[in-house]
Amino acid sequence: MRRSWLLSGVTALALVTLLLSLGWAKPQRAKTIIPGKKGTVLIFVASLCPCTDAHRIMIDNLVEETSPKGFNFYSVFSNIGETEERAEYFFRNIGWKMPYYLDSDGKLAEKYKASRTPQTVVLNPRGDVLFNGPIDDANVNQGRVENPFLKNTLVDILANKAVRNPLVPPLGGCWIVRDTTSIARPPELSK
Amino acid sequence: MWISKIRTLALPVGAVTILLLGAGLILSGCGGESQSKSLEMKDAVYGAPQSELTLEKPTTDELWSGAALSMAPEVSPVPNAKVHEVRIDVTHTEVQVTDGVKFMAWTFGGTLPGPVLHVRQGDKVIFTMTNRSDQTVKLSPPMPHSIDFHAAMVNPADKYREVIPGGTIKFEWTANYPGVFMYHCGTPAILQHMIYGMVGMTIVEPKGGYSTKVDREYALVQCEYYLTKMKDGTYLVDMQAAREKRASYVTFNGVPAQYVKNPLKAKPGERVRLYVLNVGPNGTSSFHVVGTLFDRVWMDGSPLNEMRGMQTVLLGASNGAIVEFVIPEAGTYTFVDHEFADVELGAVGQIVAKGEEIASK
Repeated sequence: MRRSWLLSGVTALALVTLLLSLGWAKPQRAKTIIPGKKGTVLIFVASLCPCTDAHRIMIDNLVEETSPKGFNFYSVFSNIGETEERAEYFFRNIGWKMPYYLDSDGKLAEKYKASRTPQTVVLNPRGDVLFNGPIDDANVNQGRVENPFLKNTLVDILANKAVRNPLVPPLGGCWIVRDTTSIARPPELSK
Repeated sequence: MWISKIRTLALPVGAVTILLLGAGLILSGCGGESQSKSLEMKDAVYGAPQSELTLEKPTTDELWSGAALSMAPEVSPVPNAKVHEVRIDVTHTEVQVTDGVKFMAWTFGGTLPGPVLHVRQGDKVIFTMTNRSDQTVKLSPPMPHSIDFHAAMVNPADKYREVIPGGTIKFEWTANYPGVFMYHCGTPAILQHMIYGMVGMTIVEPKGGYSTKVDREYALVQCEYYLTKMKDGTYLVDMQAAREKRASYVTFNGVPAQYVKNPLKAKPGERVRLYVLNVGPNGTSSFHVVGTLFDRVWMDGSPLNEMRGMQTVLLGASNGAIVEFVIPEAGTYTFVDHEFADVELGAVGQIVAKGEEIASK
């Protein structure tokens, strides 16, 4: 009798673990942005934008390398019309494992003046902006990376140095769209 | 005595032999020269002036224009000009793939595949393209696009550079080689831009035209779709499936099996030319027409790459070919990608040759 109870308990635990692991395979939606001990990396993306795909392996490696060192990574969806399903679709295609934040009211994009996808913002644990700009300059060099801006930023922070390029203007990418009734150019294109 | 006879004959025999050998050499040289003349690149134009990138808005709603353009399967004759002004704009638009399957495509000229550009070897193309993705923000985010003409020999960093939404690029190039070439968007992720629909065909006719006369000609662009269905019934492009080469559809000119429902036409006894291009982006095509043989196959569309009597032409991704065949008698001639899984996905069509008079196409 005792043995059968034990067996049932083990089986139930195994099933629950299996179910939970399947749940973990889906990307996690974050309700809030939790600062990392060393900093927080926000990557503004869009489910229908192809420009992030060129960086998918590089970001994957960067997350693996720097998360254990205290950086929290989040993908942020600020385009109007983004949903959980669209975010899951994005992650299925890109294969990243970081949590995502649905910026449905666009406040995060507005706060950090994010106008393109991908665009990255790195914050210190207090929430101060240490870097705002593209992931790298591959867009303007036919795919060749001469300046890995995001990676350099994290390297500088980990080395307790000042970030070498704290503000880099957009070098391409899709527009973040908050209003579908009018054509609103990103600010830097309206000059 | 016989030695003296040999000596007497030696000189004339030797002279005749040398003359014959010399004539042979000259004649073979002539044949070689006429072949190599076709390859002579002394008139080739390498490179082109720097491209112009502006934010000027297009003055027309037309998404493509230029006498050298047509919509597949039609192939318009090459206009009688040495310089062709051509405009093909990029736009995001909903495309119907088949019944119940639509998706938001990124296109050249509003169609998938884009228009067929038909010019002659040595012609100059003055190309203009506006990225109109900023005009369809409701459908998808505005994004950079570009174009890569396989037929052109230019600096890609200049001519094939990204055009921002609302921007216009203008550049020229010269068609140095005859052939059937691909054009596509070259903006990363290129695979994604191609499976979203940004592909098309360029035909460059040889300087002196083709050596054969045909009664019909059609353009066929073989392309693949990778789609996933969302909960609301809409379809989106599936990049993961594309990386794994798991196509949803394989089509001729963008619609699965469309030429089974609406066959191409020919008459018995006619000589038919097909310009075939496999834009992939992933699969090969083993192009075959049931019921006849290819009297001529010009690989990548150049008559210098000729093969005769082939049953099937193997085309890698971005390979093209011109195939010519005779319709032997009245009947239905099915054309396929003989990798038959692709037929199941839609890479099949028909040419119907009826015995009675057929209305002109």
